[in-house]
Amino acid sequence: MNARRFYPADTLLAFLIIAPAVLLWELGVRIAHLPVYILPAPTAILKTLMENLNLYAHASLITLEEALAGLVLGLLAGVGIAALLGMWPRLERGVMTLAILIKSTPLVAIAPLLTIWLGFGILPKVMITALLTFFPVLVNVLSGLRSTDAAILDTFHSWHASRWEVFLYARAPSALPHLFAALKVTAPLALIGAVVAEWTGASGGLGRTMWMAYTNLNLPFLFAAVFLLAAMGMILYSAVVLIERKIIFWEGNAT
Amino acid sequence: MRLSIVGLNHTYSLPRKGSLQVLKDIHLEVQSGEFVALIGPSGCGKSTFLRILSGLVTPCRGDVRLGDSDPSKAIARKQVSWMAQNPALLPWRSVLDNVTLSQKINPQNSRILMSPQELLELVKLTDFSTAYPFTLSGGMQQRVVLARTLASGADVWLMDEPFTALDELTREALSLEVLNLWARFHATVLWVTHSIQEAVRLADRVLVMSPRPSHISNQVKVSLPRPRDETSTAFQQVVRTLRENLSL
Repeated sequence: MNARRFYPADTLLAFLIIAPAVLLWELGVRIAHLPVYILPAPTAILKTLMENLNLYAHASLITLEEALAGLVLGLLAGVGIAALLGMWPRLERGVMTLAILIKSTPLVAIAPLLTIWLGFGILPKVMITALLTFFPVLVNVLSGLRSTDAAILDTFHSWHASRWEVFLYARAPSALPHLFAALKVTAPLALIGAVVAEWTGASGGLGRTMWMAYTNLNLPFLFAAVFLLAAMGMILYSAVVLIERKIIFWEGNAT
Repeated sequence: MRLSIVGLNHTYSLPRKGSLQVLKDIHLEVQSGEFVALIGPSGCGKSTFLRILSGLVTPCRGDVRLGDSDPSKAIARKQVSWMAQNPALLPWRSVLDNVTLSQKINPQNSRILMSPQELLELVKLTDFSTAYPFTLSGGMQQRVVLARTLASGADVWLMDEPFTALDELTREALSLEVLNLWARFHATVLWVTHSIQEAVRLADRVLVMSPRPSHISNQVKVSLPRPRDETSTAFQQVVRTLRENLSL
């Protein structure tokens, strides 16, 4: 099977890389007497986080909810469109042009619009996140559907398999590893999408917290939110990797 | 099932390079239950010929009949089974599920079929039914493919150098197993190979194909009783005749 296993030594190594960096940051701030509105020390950030744990937990949950809802929506849209194009390749030019058009629209520009249209609730954030995440899924899954081994396709054709049977039994499973590659990119990206959407107007969430801290130049407050966001991104990424290992057991072992 | 091929021609059109004629006026009659081997220089179009018969390639010109029907009907009814050098097993399905799938796709409900378990027993893989293809050796993988090829219950087996990627010993053992299965199921076999010895060991008749654009330049009937002794003079005589034909 694969060599992608969990090694405790790897965790230790990661710690050995990160710990000196944080230490250097702490020492740098203290020695240079940097004012807290320029760069807060890690200990100050941690202190703020601990003092406002409830507030942060609440905000994180809102952002996580928006990010996951948007991710699921983007995933469904991406997989659905890719499946459609996989079954009917002639639609590709038209549909992809439209997809690229949506993809190239600066989300920062339409985020306020969506807020005006859909209100300050969760919906515009979900939409922005979905818009941000569907494209990588679409592109990866589509190329995955086309990556099916030619010999396997020949075998299916020699059985006189229908288009649907080829899709279900040959193309779709071949696309799964590509789907997970896309998810590794889009899962952390979904958090960014939700935060950017909140930044343009929201009644809650980490983006809202960050925006408030930013306007008050309360940098420890801002950095604490950034740390939380990074931690959530890592957790989401790890979750994707974990599920991938369970599902894609054959990768690199094709015959 | 009887095969009859009349005036078969095929030309590939290559992008920016014009066209390439691979098959030229192929005429062939294969009796029901006959084991026919095809040998010829590599790139002569043996594979194309089998791909036409299995419906993967539509010929440019010529008439192909499988039994009483034209090939597209026979293929839609899964009366033809095609097996190639590349195992093309689905890595995400177990051995048993790979065999099952070939019955599940385009199912022929009116036909009485062997169960996937029986098929695995036939190729001596019962103990590996839950294993995944990538955990098996090359020879075992081809056994799975063999079971899968038999699974549809087709009367015609088109075998395109099925064991070429395997080592000599495994290859010989497997080809003799195919011979047993052929005798048991009364199938009609077209067997493409590079090896003269193998052709003579297995077939009732050996067809020699010319270089491209290829046609059947010669054929040799092998009337030696089975199992055939490769060291016998009679066997060597047939091999020598074929070798002389091939060098022409």
